[in-house]
Amino acid sequence: MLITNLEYVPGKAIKKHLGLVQGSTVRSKHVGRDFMAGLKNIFGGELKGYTELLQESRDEAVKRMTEQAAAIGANAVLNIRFSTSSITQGAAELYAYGTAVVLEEAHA
Amino acid sequence: MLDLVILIILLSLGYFFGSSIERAHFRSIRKRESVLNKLPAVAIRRLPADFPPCKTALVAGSVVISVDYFKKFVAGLRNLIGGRVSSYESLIDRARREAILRMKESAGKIHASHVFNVKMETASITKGHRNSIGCVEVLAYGTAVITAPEYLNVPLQEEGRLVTVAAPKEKFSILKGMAKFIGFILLLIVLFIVAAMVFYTGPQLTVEMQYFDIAKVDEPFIVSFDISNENDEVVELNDISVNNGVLDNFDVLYASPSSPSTPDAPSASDDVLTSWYMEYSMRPGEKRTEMFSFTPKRVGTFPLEVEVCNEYQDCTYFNPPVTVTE
Repeated sequence: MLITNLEYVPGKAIKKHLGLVQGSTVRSKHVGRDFMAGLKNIFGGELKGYTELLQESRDEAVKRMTEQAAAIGANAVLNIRFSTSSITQGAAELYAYGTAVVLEEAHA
Repeated sequence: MLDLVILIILLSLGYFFGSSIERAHFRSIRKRESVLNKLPAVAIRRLPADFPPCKTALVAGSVVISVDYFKKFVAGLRNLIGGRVSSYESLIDRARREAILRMKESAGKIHASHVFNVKMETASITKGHRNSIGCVEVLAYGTAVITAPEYLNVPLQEEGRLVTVAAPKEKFSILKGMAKFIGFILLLIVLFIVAAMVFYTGPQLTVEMQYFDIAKVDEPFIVSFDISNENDEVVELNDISVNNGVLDNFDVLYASPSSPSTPDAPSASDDVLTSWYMEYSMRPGEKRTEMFSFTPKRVGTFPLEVEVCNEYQDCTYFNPPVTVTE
């Protein structure tokens, strides 16, 4: 599975468009991380626990998106976009979407 | 008052720690930026037409960064009059540059030479919640292109996945700082407890003189006094004792007829009892009458030094002067 946020893939031709695929995950911060984040908030700086959490969640969203793409027979997802939103306090939604396509080697 | 103290502590912690963390972060950003300048990240959507054959991968860098308490406070003040909130500007700047750096580091990890179509996304993950931590996530992502021939035909390990790097280790460890801080607080608490144990004055008993005879040399006379518990709790009457110095002028005899007492052993130097252990719990409002018999040895005015102690060895002294006549 090839993923990119370009609208095409250099050296490849798009054989077939399969439409939008998406993956999302809603993650809540756990109490320990929230507590540490609360402490760190006095001092400022990076909240590494959250960074890691959101990174893991984004990986999960991408995985779901690529699984969906694979399920409909795509071999690449183009023009991927990410979006993050805070749904309620303590939970964030990570959303990834893109266009599933079938690519083939370009005939020069 | 306590609130004000806490506010001042938080503000000063935020100011000192926050500004030192920010400075350290900017130093680190500038250093890494100068290294990663050779890996351009651009926002153009198409590769140039004459671009060499390449392989692509999706790379991303993200960071969650929080304001410190001082910045939050300053921004709160700024909100009143409007205008630039420079304390948040530097925060967002740090976050964006850090996210781009991490994206470039991810690209460097897979030996990419450029990053195309860079997109930035900023999300306040605790938006709209009062009293919650103000923190912002910045995500930078783009398509890394690998042109180096030696890597072109090697299959990518992260095929089909987002290429990211882990957040770097911090030089300035908040955890360590916090551990020290908590240790210091614990030490203070222990010291406080020890001090409280040493200096604790429990509820005291009240002693009141009832009666004494006219004292004459070699004639025993009775002194009686009331011990009462005027507290709202049970207080133990631990012991009643007579100061040793009294023995120079008087012979002393504990004379209460009905009191449960355990006289301590006479000391080796003299055969006179000076302490009487009661270990008697006095209910609130309870009163008991104690009597001593003193026999003066000589003429003069002497204090009768008697002390009544509770279980914390907090004693009530009782030393009426006694004038002894022929």
